[in-house]
Parts: sequence; structure tokens; C-alpha cells
Amino acid sequence: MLRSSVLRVSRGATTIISRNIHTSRFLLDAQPFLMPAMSPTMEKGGIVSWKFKPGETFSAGDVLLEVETDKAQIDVEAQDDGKMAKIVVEEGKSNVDVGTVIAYLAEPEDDISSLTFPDAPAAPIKKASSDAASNAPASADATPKVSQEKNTNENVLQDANKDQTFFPSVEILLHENGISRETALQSIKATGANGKLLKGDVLAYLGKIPQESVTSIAQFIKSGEKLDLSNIQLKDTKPDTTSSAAPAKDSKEETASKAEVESKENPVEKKAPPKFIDLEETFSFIVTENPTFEELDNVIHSFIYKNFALAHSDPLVNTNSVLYDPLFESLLTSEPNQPRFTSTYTLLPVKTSAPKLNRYSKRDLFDELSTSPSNKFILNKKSSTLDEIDLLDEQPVKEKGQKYLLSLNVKVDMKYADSVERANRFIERVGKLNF
Amino acid sequence: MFRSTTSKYSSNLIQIQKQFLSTKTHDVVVIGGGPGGYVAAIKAAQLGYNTACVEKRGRLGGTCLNVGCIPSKSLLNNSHLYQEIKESAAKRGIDIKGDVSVNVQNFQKAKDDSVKQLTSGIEMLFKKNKVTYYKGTASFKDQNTIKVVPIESAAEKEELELKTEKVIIATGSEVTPFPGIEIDEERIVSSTGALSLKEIPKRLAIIGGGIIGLEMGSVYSRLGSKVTILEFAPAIGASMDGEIAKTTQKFLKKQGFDFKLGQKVVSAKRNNDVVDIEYEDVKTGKKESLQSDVLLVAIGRRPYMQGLNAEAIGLEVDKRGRVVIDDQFNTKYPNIKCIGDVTFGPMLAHKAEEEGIAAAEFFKNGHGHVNYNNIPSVMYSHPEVAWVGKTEEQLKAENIEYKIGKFPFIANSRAKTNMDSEGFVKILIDAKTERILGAHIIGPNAGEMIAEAGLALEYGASAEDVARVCHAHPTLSEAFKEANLAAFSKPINF
Repeated sequence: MLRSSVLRVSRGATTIISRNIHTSRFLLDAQPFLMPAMSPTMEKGGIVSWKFKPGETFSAGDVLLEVETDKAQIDVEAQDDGKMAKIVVEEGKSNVDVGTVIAYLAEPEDDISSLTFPDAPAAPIKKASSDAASNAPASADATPKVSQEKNTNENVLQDANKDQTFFPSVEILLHENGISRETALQSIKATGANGKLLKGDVLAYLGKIPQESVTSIAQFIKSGEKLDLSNIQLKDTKPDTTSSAAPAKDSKEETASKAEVESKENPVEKKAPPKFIDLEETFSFIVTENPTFEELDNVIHSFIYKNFALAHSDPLVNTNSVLYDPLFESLLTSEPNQPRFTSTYTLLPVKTSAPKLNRYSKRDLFDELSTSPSNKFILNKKSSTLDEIDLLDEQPVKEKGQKYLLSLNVKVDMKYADSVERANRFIERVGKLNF
Repeated sequence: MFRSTTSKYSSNLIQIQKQFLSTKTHDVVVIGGGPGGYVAAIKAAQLGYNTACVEKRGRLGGTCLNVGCIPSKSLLNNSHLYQEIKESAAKRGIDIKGDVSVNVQNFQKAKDDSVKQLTSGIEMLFKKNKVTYYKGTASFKDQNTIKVVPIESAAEKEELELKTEKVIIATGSEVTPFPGIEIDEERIVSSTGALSLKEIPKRLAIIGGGIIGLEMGSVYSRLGSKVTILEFAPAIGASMDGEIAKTTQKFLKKQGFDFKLGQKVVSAKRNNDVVDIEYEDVKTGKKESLQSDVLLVAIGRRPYMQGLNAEAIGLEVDKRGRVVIDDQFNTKYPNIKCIGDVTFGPMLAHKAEEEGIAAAEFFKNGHGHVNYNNIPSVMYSHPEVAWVGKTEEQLKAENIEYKIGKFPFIANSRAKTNMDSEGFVKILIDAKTERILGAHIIGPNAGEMIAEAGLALEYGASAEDVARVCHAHPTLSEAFKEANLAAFSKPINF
């Protein structure tokens, strides 16, 4: 385990150095040597000792430094020949972030005095992935673009599932490297489903492949597990004309609902449509029998209530039409259970001698009523009229019958396309009141 | 007195309600009895829901069972047998005295019998699992109410209203028509008509070099038709791995297919008993014409929702007609889920089945599993073609470093003794981790063999993990093992 970690580090160094040889531009540059990660999870470590002083040359296999992790002290070897150019982080320092420049290395034949040192990054060189403890910055070159874009998205490294049966490849790798099952389950991060250790996970742990390649392929695979539901282009909502049973009605509803949709979508552009409008209507009728006002009011109340319900439940189109389809109608109705309007009424007895009231003369009363805060169907009796009624009760009307005025105030909720039509129907229905 | 006025209205209300049919209540209503729908219904019932399934075809099983995968497999298998008997019996040492010929009527009957057995099998499964089956057309009334208008053959003649807590839409897909070409299912046919041609056409032209076109082409090519494939794209096989597609084309060409790739069909008209087709080269614009006895239009399928009134309850649909869902199959209403061909993803029966089960499970416990990385595709030509996971083209596009392991069936003992050794297994693995990324098989029994690849992909196996599993000898599956061996190391037998 220890040996393998070292191996991995030296690989990092190898890539760095070999790149130096082949890239003329960097020939005179010292190569930064970064704090290595001794395990995939290692984030910080200490430098116990440097085995080379600046200016000293080393050859492949020499121990460059000793690194301390929370678990052990580990020798870091160089795999290629080189020269220690400069030590940045002195020995004895602990809590050094993985990826921090701790020294500069050069080619054995380089003259240290003429070397230029690239600006040391102030912070540890950003790890390619939040979860991948990458100690080899060179591996970033080989990293596919995709993984760089995606690898901040999801963490694909999990703790290994303790109950798993190992894949044959995993079993063999562990055996070959003298890693016990317990150690493997404890210290190797898994990228397989439900914490399954994969061959790649072990290979990365052994330093045989960069950790980055494990996480990037795991992320690539994970990205395809779900349906790509991004960038969905919605079709314009049009009613299904092929199945439309009432074409005329249909288009009417459509424009209404479209307007509704548009107003929702562009609330700024459109002038805000009134949320409620008030409709008023006054009916007069004659009652030939002589009920008490209370009796009459009860009847009127239930009559209006029934019509209120009917105005909501009745279809708006001709039910005898061959094109009528109740299902279709109800499908077109949004939130069928919400009231389209609220209603208040005032019942007034009219003295035969009194001048006829028309609907306009009672305007102020309606204004008053229309400000009623209640949403529900409201019965509203004006106490002032009661006095008159008391009077009338004392003087029962003649055979001609008593004339009453019913003023209806309807507050229409403009949220629904069919509100006005339903409210008008309601008023029309109530107007048919006849005794 | 006064009350009479009001009661007149209320009786009116009752009348309206009466007109509104009898009501049944269910926990889950599945609309569509295809592979997605019936599986979802059975699963939902097994999870303890009072479940109903509404299907308007009259038979369960959907496109797949009635006019798709199943009947075409009957024709493919039997036409393959015919061809084998005719062409390779002698070299296998079987002498046939007298004529070998196809009896088209019985050929079709064999197909119909299989279909019938399978569809009634699903009805039995419904009974066993206590799924209520409504033969009728379902349409949404509101998000919890579905009207069912019975079809003619239904025992129940009354319209029904189903009150339900949850809905699964699985209405499937239909043949995409070719603009300007009228399908009469006699001379100009869709895949549906191609399954029941009354006679074997001398010349069969097919628009579309995808799986459906190539399978139906195979059937009639074996029965003696001269098959011409007209494909707009420069390659056949749609989403197949490029190398596999080329090999397929080579094999089919050897079987007598004429491929006209990169050709755009301009028009096709029926003139009595022939169809005249005009097409032009996509690149050069050069026009040519072709005469055929039957023209099969197989350019794909599109989502089907007719009569569902989904738009009326405001279900969102994308520009290609697919119902918009989230990653738990929810439409804009959380109680209405949508699965299968009518929504996103590949239009495959087995994908719909997986989604059906997942949707029912999401309803029950908020968790379901479909791995879209791992949905196999199979083309039942001969040799068969099957694949799962990524193609080389996809890996290149994603900049993934990969290694290839290939093993030809010519080096497989079973294939060799079967005298059926065309094709190869191709395994794509990640270059570093050796994790299997894709498997592509062209060869005998590829469709069965791909299941092993699916299992390997699902568990993140490396090529070595497959190669180290003992495979029976002598079997075709050894080729799969050897290809894995080849991917990370070296094959033994090649």
C-alpha cells in the first residue's frame, strides 16, 4: 500500500519532468513540485523531511522527501533523474494542502542560478475535481473536456459497501497487492452502484491509473443514467381539434383561455385586467299570496342559491346539440369547483303608491354592497327595508298582490374565462323568478 | 308553491348527472394496454392498488404485440427457417424431396396464432393480478376523472366514468406518415400493413433503413422479393455503432438488398398495382425513379394521444408531440405519470416496461429505477444485431479514451458447427479503468447474448470481470467472453 502510493507520486513527477524535456519553452523553467496526495481522501499532510538540498541532483528511485499523513509516514520517490532547485515548504511543516507547491525541480544538467521560477500559485492548485484528490497536475492535460465541465456536478465516489461480493478483477488485484478485504473496504472509494468497488477504483488506489480517470468515467456514465429532459421545447398549447366535439364553443374558449395564459406570462406588458367586475340587476315581481317577509326571503334565498349552483354546473352550450359533449365541456373548464362569482341580493317590498324604482335609482346601495369582503354567497338584508316591511305586514295588500323588488349584485371573478357568461346566466335565471 | 320553482331546477341537475354515466372508483388507472401500460397495471396491482387498465384496441399488448415486435418476429423466424431449408439443407446433409414453398396463408396464420395466444395471455395475467380491464377509449375529464367510451366488441356497453387517485398514461406511438405519401395499407403500406401482405411482392421498396425497414425487408427478401432500401442518411441502422452498421449493410447486401443511401424520396404514387417512386440524391440533387409492387414507409414512429384530450387538461407536450415529464415520470400533475413511447427516450417496448414498473413504484414508495445507459436494442435480421451502452461514435464525441475488444464468430466453435458464423462481438471499454462502456454484437443469437452485456453494464463490470466468468462450452456466449478478454488482454482462441 505504501509502496504503491509512492509509485503514484513518482509517476506524477515523471510526467512533469518528461514534459520539461520535450517542451522547449519550459526548458529554463523549474518545475513546481506539488504536495502529493497519499490516498484518494487525503487533503492535507505534513513534510517530515527533505532528503535533498537545493542544488543536489537525484536519480530515479531516490527518496525525495518523507510525507506524513494522519495514518503514516511515507517516502516519496523520484522516478526520473533531476535536480532539487528550490524548497518552498520547509520540513516540519504540517497541514500542507494537497496540490500546494512545496518545491521546484529541475533537470540534472540545469544551472539553478539561471532558472526561472514560475509564479507559485498562492493557493493550492485547484484540484480538477472537488472529490478527486489529484496530485498530478499533468493528468489534467489528459482529462477529457467533459469531465472538467461535469465533475463539479455530482460526487461519484462513495464509501465501499461493506457487504459486497468483490468482482473477480477486484479480488485478484487486492490479492496481488496484499491488501486485505477489510483495508480495501475501508480505504478504497467506490464508484460502482451501491458502493460496489470496481476494477478502476482499485487501480486508482494502487496508483496504476490517475484517480481522475475513475471519477471522470464514473461521472460520464452517471450522466447518462437519466433521461435528458433539458431543453424541452414546448408545443404551443392548442386544443385537440380532432377530438373537439363543439368547434364553435371550442374556439371561443380557446381565445379566452389563451388570453388567460398570455396575461399570466406577460403580466407587465398587458394592462392588468380587472380582477373582478360587478354586475347589477333589479327585478320586480308580484306575490299574490301573502307570505311573511321571512318566508318569502327564505324562498328567494334558496331559489338564488339553487341558481347559483346551477349556473356553475350547467353546461354553457346547447345540450341538445349533436356536438354537445359534457366531458369535453368539463375538460375545457379550469378549476370547475371554484366559484365564478359571488352574489348578494336585496329584497324590497314596493308600496303600490310608491314611485317605481328602476335599477339605476338604487345605485348607491349596490355600490355599498359590492364592497362586501366576503367571497361566499351572501344574503344581505338591509335593516332599513325591514321597517317598511313591518309596515306592510300590518297592512296586507289587496287581491292584486304585493310587489317586490329584488336587486341582485354579482361580483364576477375574472380569473376564469367562463365567469361572465355564467354570471349572466345566473342573472337571467334569477330573472325568471315568478310566483 | 315557491319550492316547486326551485325543485324544477334541481331535478334538471339530477338529469344532467344521470346523463353523466355510472362511476367506478380506482386507485390507479392506466391508459393504454401495451407493454408499458399492462406491465404498469400489473405492477400497480401487485403493490396493492385497486388498478384498472383502459385499452381501445380490443386486444392487450399494444403495438408491440399486435402489429409490431411480436408478429414481425414470427415472420422473421419462419422466413429464416424457410431460407435455411431451401439454401443450406443440402450442405447440412439434408435432402429434401419435392418443392419447398411458402404457403402465405398459413404463414400469416402462424403469426396470428402466436399473437392471439400472447394477447389473451395478458388478459389472464390481468385476472390473476386483479386488474380491471376496460375495453374502451379513455379521455380525461379532469385530473382525477376519466371517461371510458366502450368499443364495439366490449361486453360493457355503457359509458363509464372512472374516478381515480392516480393515472399512468401509456398511450404509445403510431407510424409517422411520410408527407405527401398516402398509406393505403395495400400497395403503400406502413409496418402494420407489411405484416399482413396477402402475397409476396416481386419488388419491395422501403423508405427508411432503420430497424423496422431492415427487418421487414429481411422477411420479404427471404421469401423472394427484390428489396430496395431508400434511406435519407448516408448510413443504415439509425443509432447503431458505425462499424456494426457497415457490417450489417454488407451482410444484407449479400442477401440481395439494394441500398440507396443518401437519397431523399420526393414522391410516391400508386398506379394500379405498382407504386412509382421518385427520389433524389441528397448531395447532388440528381433525380431518379423506381417502380415497386409494394412500398413500405418505415421512417419512424411518433407519440400517440388521440382521443385522450390531454391538451384540454393542459398536459404539456413538446414540439415532437412527446408528453413533458420530470425524472419521476410526473406530468404537470403529480398524480398523472406518463411512460413509454408517448414521452421521452427511445421508443422500445422494454424501455416502456421498465418505466411502467418504475412509475408504479414511484407512486407506491417514491422510488423507481430505470437506467437509460443500459437499454439494449436488437435487430432481428440474420445475422442478428444487438447493442447496449455507448457506440464508438458517442465515445469519440465525448472525448472518452476507449479500448476495443473484438472476437469473430468464425473463431467460435458453436457458431462454426452451426454453420452460422458471420459477425463478431465488439466490446468498448474505458482505456484506464477498463469499465465496459458498450457492447455491440452482430451474429447468431446476438439478441439473447446482449443480456449478459446489460448485466455487466448495470454492475459496472470491467472487461476482466466478464472474462473471468466461466462460460459454458461450446456456446456462442464464449465469443462474448473472448471479446472481453481481447479488450483488456488477449483472446485465447483467436
